[in-house]
Amino acid sequence: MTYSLTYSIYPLLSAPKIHTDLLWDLTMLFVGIGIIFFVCIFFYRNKISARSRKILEKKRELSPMISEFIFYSENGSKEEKNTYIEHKIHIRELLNDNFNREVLASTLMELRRDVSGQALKQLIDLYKNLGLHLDAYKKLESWRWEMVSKGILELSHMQVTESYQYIVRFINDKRSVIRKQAEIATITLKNEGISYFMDTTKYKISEWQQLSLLEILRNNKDFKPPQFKTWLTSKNKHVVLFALRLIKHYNQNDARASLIELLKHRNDQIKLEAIECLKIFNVVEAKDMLKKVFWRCSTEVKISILGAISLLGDQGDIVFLRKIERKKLDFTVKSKALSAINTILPETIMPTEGIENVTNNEMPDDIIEKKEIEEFNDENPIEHREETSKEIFQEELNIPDSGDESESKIPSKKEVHIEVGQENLDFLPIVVSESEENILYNAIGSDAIKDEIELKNKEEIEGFESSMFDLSETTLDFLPIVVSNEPKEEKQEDNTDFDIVNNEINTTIMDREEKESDNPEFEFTVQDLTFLPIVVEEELKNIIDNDEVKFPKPEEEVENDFNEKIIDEGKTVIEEILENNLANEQSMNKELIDEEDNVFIDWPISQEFQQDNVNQAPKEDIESILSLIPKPYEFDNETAVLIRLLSDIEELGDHREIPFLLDLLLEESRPLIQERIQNVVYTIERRIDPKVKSVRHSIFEELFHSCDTESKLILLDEIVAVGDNKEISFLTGLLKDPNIEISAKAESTLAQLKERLSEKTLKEMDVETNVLSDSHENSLVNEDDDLLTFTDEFALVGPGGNAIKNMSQSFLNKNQDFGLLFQLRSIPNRLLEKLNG
Amino acid sequence: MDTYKLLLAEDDELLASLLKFRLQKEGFQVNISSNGKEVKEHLEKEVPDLIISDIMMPYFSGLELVDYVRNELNSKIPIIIISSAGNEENVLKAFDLGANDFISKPVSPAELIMRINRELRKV
Repeated sequence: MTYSLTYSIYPLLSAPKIHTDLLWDLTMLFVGIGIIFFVCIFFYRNKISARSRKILEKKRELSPMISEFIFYSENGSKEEKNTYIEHKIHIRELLNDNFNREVLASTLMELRRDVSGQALKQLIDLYKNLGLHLDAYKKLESWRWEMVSKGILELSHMQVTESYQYIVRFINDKRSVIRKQAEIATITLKNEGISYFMDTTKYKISEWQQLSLLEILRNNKDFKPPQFKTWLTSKNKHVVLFALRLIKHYNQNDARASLIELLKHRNDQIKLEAIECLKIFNVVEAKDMLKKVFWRCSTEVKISILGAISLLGDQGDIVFLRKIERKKLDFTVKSKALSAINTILPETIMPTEGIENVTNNEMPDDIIEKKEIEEFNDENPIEHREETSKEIFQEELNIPDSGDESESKIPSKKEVHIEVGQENLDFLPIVVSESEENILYNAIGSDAIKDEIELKNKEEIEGFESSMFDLSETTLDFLPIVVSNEPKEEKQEDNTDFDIVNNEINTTIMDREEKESDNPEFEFTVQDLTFLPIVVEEELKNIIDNDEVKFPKPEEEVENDFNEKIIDEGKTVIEEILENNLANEQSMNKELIDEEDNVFIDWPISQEFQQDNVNQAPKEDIESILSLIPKPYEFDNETAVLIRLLSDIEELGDHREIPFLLDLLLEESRPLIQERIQNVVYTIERRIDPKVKSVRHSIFEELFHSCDTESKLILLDEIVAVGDNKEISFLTGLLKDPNIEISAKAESTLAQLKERLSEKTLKEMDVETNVLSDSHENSLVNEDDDLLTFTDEFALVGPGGNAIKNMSQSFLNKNQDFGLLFQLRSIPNRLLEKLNG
Repeated sequence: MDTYKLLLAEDDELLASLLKFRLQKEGFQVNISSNGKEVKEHLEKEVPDLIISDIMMPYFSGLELVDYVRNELNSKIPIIIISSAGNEENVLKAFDLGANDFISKPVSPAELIMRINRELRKV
């Protein structure tokens, strides 16, 4: 069996018997094929090489001619022209050969890549003039794709626009190379080629081809891009995609509705491109569509939509983004949704991944010891102080049990504030003075200083114990919590621990101003002012500097200053009169002050400021400023009540109060109050009869009504001599007197009086102007310029003198005023008039 | 007036011929070298008034030529580099090695002449 198998296998392994002749025949065949192959190789290689050499030689032969044609100028020499003509003839002969034409065309194509400018134009013209574009047309008819492509390339590079009609036929060619070359040539040769291409192309436009076309469009001269939204309706999705990119490139944002509609396109690329356009053009109205198409999109599109919503969305879109976060979606989509939320509302979503829970973390007790605390304190003083200060504050809130019962019953200052109501005081700043902070910070780690702090608390408690305030009954919401730098004793004297802040001072000043404007005198009583802390703050210096506006200097003082300046230089009769008036005024002022025992309170001036003034005598400037600060009166209770009563009567009273006021006037001995009563009476009279003149009744008027005609005529003569403005109204009234003699006399008297008064006015003006220009003006002008601009009447704008004239004018107008100053000034005149009359 | 001698190192025969024709027409005496070796041999024999060189040449690039002229020959003759690879790196390197000017292809012959004249005026 084994033998048979062996026997049977061997014949299969042995080579079959082949005839030797056949082997030789086959050998000869393959050798022959090989020889033919190599012969062909050598033949074609040699042929190609020979052709290349021939082309190179032809190029070398043609290149001078090409150079001659390109750089030929008609201004050249005769030899140059002869050479040009010879070359022209020669090249015409050469062009009869196809090979030469081909070489010449390829040479020009090569040169076209290397030259620019005018040389390039000449080269293109040469190409056309030699008729080489006709060869390119022939290539378009070739069945070989490379020949067609080469022909299209030549025509487009040589800018043969006439070939446009021939090339556009290849836009939908089946061969992609020809098609792409035709697309490029179409767009290159004519600007409207892009429209034709977009309208007619049926095939895919590759990404690379789109980039190439876009690059050509960018380089085309005078290219006006058409409205690419036209092709958003194309059946070719590649055209739609390319149109979207062109819309984006040329910023054509007039296709918003189409872009929104394209969000529903099945193609993801178009969706993505449309979303990009919507983002760039900020199409907010696309948000709803974005949300609608979101759920059925691919992940890539979803992320793009979320990016668009983050840019276009607002707080109303947070709900939608929250839904995405809760849906079972790809984690990248969820992450994008969260980032979109944070883009719309920054820091809305905080990081959650990889965040450890530290709520149960506690500081180990055995790590930090006291010594280490001190070392740590040295290294990190600020942080440690903060922690320690908090601890001390907590200790202060919890009053130690070891204290006396009386002390423990008395709440500390801070506790009192808490009892007053922290809720009500939430809006108030908790201000701690530097000194207290320093004590707190320096007390860290020191038992001795802790004792000091306790002692300090006790002092505060004692100080508070002696306070007149019952905080449980008083509403202190309007006061900030302030710990003052002032010593405790001063606070106790002021019966309050509270400083005042600028707002409250300003409020007080405003109230004061309002009341001053209503009434020329202060109506504050001590009781009214008890709620105000009298505190001196450095910050009030600013108020002092500005109080010239808020507290104009009393007219008495201004007049005194003004008259002093005049009297010092006075030599004339009028000046003597003024001097007498001034002396009377001063004496009356002195009496007024002595009688009423008015105590001047240095209202807004700090003690430090005053001490500085005392200690620093040379600071006359500051004293001059301080002298301008009004010093308010402080009346006793009775006087204050009386003044308030007069004010009420003035505001609310009628003629029924006049008898009472007259009785009061007779009883009253204080000139200031008398004057006030007179003003109230006059105000009521004016209210009853508006015809009451603004000028007071003439003293002659009373006498006039109680005498005969002869006496009246004498009085009229006297009026001419001693009368003033008050008599003018009286005389005017007499002009209508039924007694013709009196009316005629009154007319003449009025004329004479007016003439006298006008002369007097002129003299006063001259005197005042001279005096002021010599003394008062100089003295004021030499002082700080700021002092020259503090009131309306004394609007000493500058050294020019205009303001001085205003002063004199205002001085003349004083006679028509009804203020306290006028009344005081009129007293000597009245006396004089009475003596004369 | 002596004509300026220019050495044009350009491996593209057509462009070299074209530029030579234009430069000769402008009055310059132009010698063409198609590769770096020839340039080196030419420079050993004769130093031109100005060198116009392409960057990409056989055997010896234009940048190597600049380095050779500046550092080995220690010559300050003006060198204008022409290259189709007008990227920033090549330009900076050429100027760093000592080239006087750089022109990108395609070249405008008129512009080249202007630049040559400017460099020659400096000399």
